[in-house]
Amino acid sequence: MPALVYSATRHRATLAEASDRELLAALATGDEAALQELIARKSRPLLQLTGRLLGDAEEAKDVVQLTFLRLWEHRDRYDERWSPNTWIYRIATNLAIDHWRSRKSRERGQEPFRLHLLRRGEAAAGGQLAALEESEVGAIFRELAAGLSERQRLVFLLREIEGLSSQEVAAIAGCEESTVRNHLFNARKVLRRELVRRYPEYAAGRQERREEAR
Amino acid sequence: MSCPDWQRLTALRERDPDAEPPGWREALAHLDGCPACAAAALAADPLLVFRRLPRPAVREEEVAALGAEVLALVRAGRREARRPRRRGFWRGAAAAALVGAALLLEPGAGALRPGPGVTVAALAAEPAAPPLLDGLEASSARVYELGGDGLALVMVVDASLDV
Repeated sequence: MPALVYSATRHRATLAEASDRELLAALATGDEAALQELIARKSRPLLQLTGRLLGDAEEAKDVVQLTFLRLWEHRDRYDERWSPNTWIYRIATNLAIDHWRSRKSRERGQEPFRLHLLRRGEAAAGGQLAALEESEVGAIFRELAAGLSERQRLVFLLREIEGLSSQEVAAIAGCEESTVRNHLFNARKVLRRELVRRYPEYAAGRQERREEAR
Repeated sequence: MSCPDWQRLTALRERDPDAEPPGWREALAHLDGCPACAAAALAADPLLVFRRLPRPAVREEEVAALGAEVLALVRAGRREARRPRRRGFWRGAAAAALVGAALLLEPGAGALRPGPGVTVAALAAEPAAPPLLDGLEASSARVYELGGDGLALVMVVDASLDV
């Protein structure tokens, strides 16, 4: 009677129960099913993070695809001292930054989102930040974040929007925690200054408070 | 939770954005579900508006398509890696041409001489290599082994194979 020595279905079921670290260990042996499982687990958060970083869903898909290919090519370089998420996010964000640098010049000619709001008559009517649609918040962020460096943008998103700790952000961005704090401080300063300058009606409450303070 | 004092919280945070004042996370969670709080929070710190930065929607089909594309590229890369390089072919051809020329120039060229003999017993004594499962993981294949009396039979069953 032949003995069943290997079943791909059974192997995949085992991998579905495995931890991320175990999957990376299986990946190091050239296991395609481990890659498949990592894709199933990590695609969504990676697409969301790179989508926010790049402000473009199609470009985010390209970056995430490249991330998994890079993960496969460098599968034997994974250092177990790293958290699997940090390792994967680091690859993805580095690729997103490269991608962003290469297309940054194209963004320079973009029409400010303010003109769109003015045409809609909202900004002129004294709009409120709270009343903005999510897509409008996205458009304003893309416009203002163009004034940030790649690292400032990455740190702001990971720290302020994704809610990661400075330690985690430092590991992903490949820098010291003090550098993360610096980037965050500068990113907040630039974004606030530009928000007040370009969309003063949305920062009205803040200005009034400052005037009162004087 | 009652609406937090946004002026106080944001003032504390402005001093050190990296340090979270006590109750900061709870206040943010409250903000996400309290429209009444939004105006006060955004007046205190307009950058809080970016908490509403849209999280791109990702459909299951997109993830599946992305996975299929990545695996196709990985397999294409593996096939490419297995294929003998063209440069290797030309090197081999050049070496064969040199050997041929040397044989022709040698006295008594053209006569074939037998090489060292290999006995069946010597071949049988070599340990059998275990079957390689390279590339099977992502299929639906099952591998059976039938062994005994010096016979090693490996059966690979894959319903998705089109033969």
